[in-house]
Amino acid sequence: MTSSRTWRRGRFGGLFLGCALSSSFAQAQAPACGAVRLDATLGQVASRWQEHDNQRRELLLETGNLATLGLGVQAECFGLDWQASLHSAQGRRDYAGRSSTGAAIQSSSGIEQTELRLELRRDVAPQLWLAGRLGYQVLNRTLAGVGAVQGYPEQYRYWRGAIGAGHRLWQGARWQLQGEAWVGGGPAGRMTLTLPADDPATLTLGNSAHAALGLEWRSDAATEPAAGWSWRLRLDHMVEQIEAGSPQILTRNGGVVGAALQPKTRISSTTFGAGLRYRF
Amino acid sequence: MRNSAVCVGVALALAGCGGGGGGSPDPVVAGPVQVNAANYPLVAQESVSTALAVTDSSLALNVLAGAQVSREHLALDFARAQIPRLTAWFASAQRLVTGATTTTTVACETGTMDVTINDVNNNQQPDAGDTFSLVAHNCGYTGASLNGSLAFTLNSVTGDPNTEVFSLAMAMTLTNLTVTDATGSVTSNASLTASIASTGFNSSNFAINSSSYTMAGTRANVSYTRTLSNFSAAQTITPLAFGGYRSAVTANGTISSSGLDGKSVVFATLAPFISTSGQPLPTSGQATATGAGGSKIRLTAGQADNKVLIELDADGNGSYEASQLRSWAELL
Repeated sequence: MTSSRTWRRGRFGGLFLGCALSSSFAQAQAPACGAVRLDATLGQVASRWQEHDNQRRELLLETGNLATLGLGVQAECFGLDWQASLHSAQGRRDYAGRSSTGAAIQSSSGIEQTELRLELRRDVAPQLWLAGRLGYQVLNRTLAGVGAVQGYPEQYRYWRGAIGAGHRLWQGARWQLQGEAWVGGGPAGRMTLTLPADDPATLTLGNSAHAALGLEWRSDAATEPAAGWSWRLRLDHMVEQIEAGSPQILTRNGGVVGAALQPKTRISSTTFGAGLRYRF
Repeated sequence: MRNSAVCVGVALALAGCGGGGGGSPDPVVAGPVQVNAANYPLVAQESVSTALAVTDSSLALNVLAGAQVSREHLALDFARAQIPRLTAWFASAQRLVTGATTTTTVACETGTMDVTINDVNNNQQPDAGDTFSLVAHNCGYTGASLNGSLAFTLNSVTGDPNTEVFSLAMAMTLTNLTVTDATGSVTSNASLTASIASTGFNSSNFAINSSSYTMAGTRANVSYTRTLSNFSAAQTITPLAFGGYRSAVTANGTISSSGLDGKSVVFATLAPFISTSGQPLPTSGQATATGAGGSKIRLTAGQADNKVLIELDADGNGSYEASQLRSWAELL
């Protein structure tokens, strides 16, 4: 499937980029930069996806657990903490929605999600940091057909940015706990829709907005962390809303057969992850 | 399958693509299209989706909600949903002096519709000569909003249309029945006659005729039209020995479409399209769509993987020089 190949190319391309970045950081630490840290995190996300039409009626609800993987590289340069990371999630969600004829239906959706993220942080007080981040998200969602009701693949692509603040909630000699909060959004993205037998259509999504809270318990000391391994546990919760997009004509063999749009979409996720960090 | 549901489905499927009646202008057809190697898959698609999909709305594309996809036949579904209410509406009509009408405002999912009953013989039952009409006012129906009117005149009624044994003949007019959803709107105008004779469960004959009807839509700022002229269709439902039913559909008439640059083809069924309740896509049947100078395509159902063979005779000499296999999903 084209979308799957595209995603895999994107995922491996991202991994390659991450490795290249980490290698560059590790091998060519400029005097202006501090120690490089590499992160790897595995986890699980409880994912919830809702769509509503322009009359605020719920069109569908998807819920399910996805496996997550995060890879990142960090370094302090020019007084800022820089982080490039790749986040992916895969799995299936249960689908409760309707067919296009209005009949209630149960199905499932396959999810492959990847985000490439760049983040900058700056300490503004001993216990407080401020940050900004920019991410590019690619989400492949494949709706499974049921009987005569056909499914189809979708691929979402959109940018999102956020500003955030973090606070060290507790610290000990070897442990620390910190919390963080983010708010952000992004411009209208794109979604490629491939309905059965129709020509693929690229739909314009609406603008997005999101808010997130995070809690991290980690084993390295807050001050003068040592080189070597450390671990961390993270709990994140995010709510995101993508406004309804604009309708796009659907064609088959070049002839108009209808139109489609992506309705208002509300996504929430609660992620638990455990990770390792190596500090050079 | 209830016979009334079958017949009404077919009748209203036709009505939903309709036009030409009820004050709408006659469709302008720019002559027959030249069918050639470049456009014959498109001719097949336009012909089948207009002639067969509207004849049997159960053939229309049915997908999961994810993206919101327009539903070209929603007006038909709406009209079909009203038919089972017919007997109750007549039963609740006030007894009035002959010739008087009763109008009731009925709530939709959102908005309302006015239901007007003219029970000519004042017996509170639908029978010959009675009329009823619906006027939708932003009437919400499965996520869309409807405006416009439907009018029915009952020409003959025997038995109860809510049972399996009855017959019904009626004239129906759709006047600027506009369905608006998030992707745009489609306005249907139609004038047609329909008849059904149901002799039992899964046993019925249905026929419909329309001199002209048009569906004009605007979606994503793109306008399009589809028109059927001098159209007739029939569906025969017969029970199968081990349950379910067998459907035989024929359709004949002139189809024009903006997809064919406003030009037309004449669709003719050579052998009825046969499907069953277990296999709703036809497994046999044959039709032609003929354009300018005798150029035509021939559609033959029942190929491997239940695909449809599309053959091209571009010069109209009776010899088919090119062909393609397409799935029903690509045509409906």
